[in-house]
Amino acid sequence: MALLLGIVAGQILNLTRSFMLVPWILFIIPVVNGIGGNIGTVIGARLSSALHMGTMTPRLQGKPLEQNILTGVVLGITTYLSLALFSVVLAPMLGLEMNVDSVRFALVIALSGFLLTFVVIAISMLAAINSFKYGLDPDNFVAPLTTSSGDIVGILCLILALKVVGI
Amino acid sequence: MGGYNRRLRRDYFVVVDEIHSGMISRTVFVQSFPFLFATGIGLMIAGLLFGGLVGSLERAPGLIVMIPPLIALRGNIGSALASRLGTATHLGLVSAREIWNEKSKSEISAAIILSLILSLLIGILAYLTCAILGLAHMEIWKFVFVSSTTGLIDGVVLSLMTLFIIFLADKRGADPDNIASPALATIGDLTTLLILFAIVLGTGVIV
Repeated sequence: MALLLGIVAGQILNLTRSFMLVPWILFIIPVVNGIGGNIGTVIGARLSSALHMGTMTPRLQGKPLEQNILTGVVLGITTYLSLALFSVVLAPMLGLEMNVDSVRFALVIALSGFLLTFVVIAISMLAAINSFKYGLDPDNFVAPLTTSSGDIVGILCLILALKVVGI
Repeated sequence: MGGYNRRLRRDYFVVVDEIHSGMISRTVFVQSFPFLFATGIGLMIAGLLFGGLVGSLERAPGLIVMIPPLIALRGNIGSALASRLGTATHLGLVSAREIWNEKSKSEISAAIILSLILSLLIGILAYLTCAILGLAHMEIWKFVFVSSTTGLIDGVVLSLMTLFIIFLADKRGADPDNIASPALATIGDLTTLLILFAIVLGTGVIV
């Protein structure tokens, strides 16, 4: 099932042909999707443990949930921001051919990352809570679900960010 | 300023203190951020290789469709394997002294077989979806060739790497579950991209 989601992600990439226009898009994809997946699984794992231990109820409210969500958001924003800034330094050093200026480049990374953070945390939260509610072990569901759907959403966020920044 | 929160860790029966600044867990942040950042840098470097693929991708229509699923496949199988080997280590079925035994062999062969079968499936699905959607695509055998060779090589290399990391962790007396998963996630991503890069480049030459 996660395979199917992966194929969908690949087809979206294929369809939009954006990788032709923007050669460095392939450079950004692993980073954005990878970090998104990490944040989703970290928060998901924490929610999963909290549910198992009973410090959290499987409902969309409560202090532990809010704390985790906020922590995840802050983590995501700071990580993507620092990576975006760092990439501006890194890319030219490694001889990446760029057809846009550095500001736009960093902005694309940052924007798509921020957007993805919110979505990924929402997905992992829903996956953890709902699987627990139906008596399943969230540990088995959160990781594959959030990473696969996060991949798709990541590419969508990337495309959106490119449009917003004007590429 | 901040709140002081105590959480009970079920498995080690140790009280872990988490420091909160307002609503945000500073402990989590401080522990996760450096690693996350380092992972990002690693991924960017790997992504650089990726950028060099554009030429091959243009010559092999439809190839790009298989890239996300192959990465995801590695991620899922890899983490499942890592967690199973970790559990096996906890149960004493596998250890630094007895690292290459019946149990580990069966786990690894299962992972490799799964990688092969599923990557074959990825190749077929990629071809079908391209054909159905009416998009440009290469012949089916090219899809299947790239995906299954990537899947196979990837499966073998990563399974052995996982075993090695589990071995190292156990030798140092560390809990493989804590060390193996994050380390493998990053290294696995990098390796998969490398293998994919090599194969696509090779395919670009063949195609």
